[in-house]
Amino acid sequence: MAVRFKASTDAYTSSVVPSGAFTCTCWVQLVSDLNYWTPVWGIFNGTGVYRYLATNSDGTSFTFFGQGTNLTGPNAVIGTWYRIGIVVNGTNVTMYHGTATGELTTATGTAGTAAANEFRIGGSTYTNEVLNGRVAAMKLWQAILTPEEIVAELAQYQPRRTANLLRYHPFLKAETIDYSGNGNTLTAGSTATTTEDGPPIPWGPIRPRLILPSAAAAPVSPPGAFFPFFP
Amino acid sequence: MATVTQQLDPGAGQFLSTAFPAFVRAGASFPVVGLAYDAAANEAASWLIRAVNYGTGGVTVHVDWYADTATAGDVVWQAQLAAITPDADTQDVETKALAMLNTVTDTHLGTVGQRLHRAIITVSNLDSLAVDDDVWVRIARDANNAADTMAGDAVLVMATVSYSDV
Repeated sequence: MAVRFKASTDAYTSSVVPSGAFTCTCWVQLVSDLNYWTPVWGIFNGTGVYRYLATNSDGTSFTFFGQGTNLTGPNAVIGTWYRIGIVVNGTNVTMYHGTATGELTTATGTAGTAAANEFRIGGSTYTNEVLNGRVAAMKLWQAILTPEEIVAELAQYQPRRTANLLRYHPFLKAETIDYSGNGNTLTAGSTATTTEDGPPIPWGPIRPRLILPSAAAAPVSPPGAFFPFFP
Repeated sequence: MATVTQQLDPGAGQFLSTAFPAFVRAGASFPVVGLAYDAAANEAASWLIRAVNYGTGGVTVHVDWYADTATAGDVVWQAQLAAITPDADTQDVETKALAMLNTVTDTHLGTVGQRLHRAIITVSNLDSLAVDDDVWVRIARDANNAADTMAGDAVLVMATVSYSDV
């Protein structure tokens, strides 16, 4: 499942922002082409400081705006899911992007380093910038992930890497809870988001299976194996 | 003689990029997670297992499911296999086709909408299944089938694949 944003007042916010190097991965789908800058997530300080993933003014070309090089990602097809990872390492930024299958494409550039004080999903600090789309499996680390780690993280809802995980929002429901364990709960907007269908990824990896010898008249697969769902 | 049973976890289901069930979580006292198969469009999920200790005979797929909103109606479940013998079959794994599907129509038993049901699919199209084959198991809801009359999602909470070891 995924959370659906469709109005500027739907955006989730938080004062907990990454400082220094960070990595953010998520799945995003545009539901309509607004022919305008369409924000997915970002960190801001008013309108003077920003590092955020959005579309360009055409409403479909995913771009990372970081007050340096604008990194161009995929030109989105409405209704198609995209997986996007952003790594900010000082003034260096790398975007990894792709659709549901195939290898990720990489783009690199630069960004500013001014301190931000707000994290947003589904909106920006600029008036009239609205996401009409879905977001799922959002994970943010206060660390630089390798390309291999990013591929693995985008392949499932659950975080594989928990070290330096700053926030984790699977968005199986339209909710503001941070499942990283850090308690970085988001603040909901003044209008409600909704829950809609999500990207084509499993919750997590396949569990180990125990296969008993054929002489033993017993089943296989441990029914009580650890499977950490959150209540 | 024993029956080998392998559990298919909804959290580990794999999907093509279109026509797949949504992963959902609900529950008041404990998490109830599953794959929500749509009532209006055919959707499918797949799992990979190894046919350890497979002997002979058919395969049985149990689908444990509940209705998201409905209190009546029928759900048509499908199961299909694609079996490959590593080091023996020369089939390109990425272009491998599934065997013909088998289906069962399971009826909502009423009284309580979100009660748990178990649909049992006897899979007779085995794709030349042999011991230790790698087997892709595809479970779908044939929502477009006229016999599938249940409104709303059918949520698969667990499935199993079982077979005889002799």
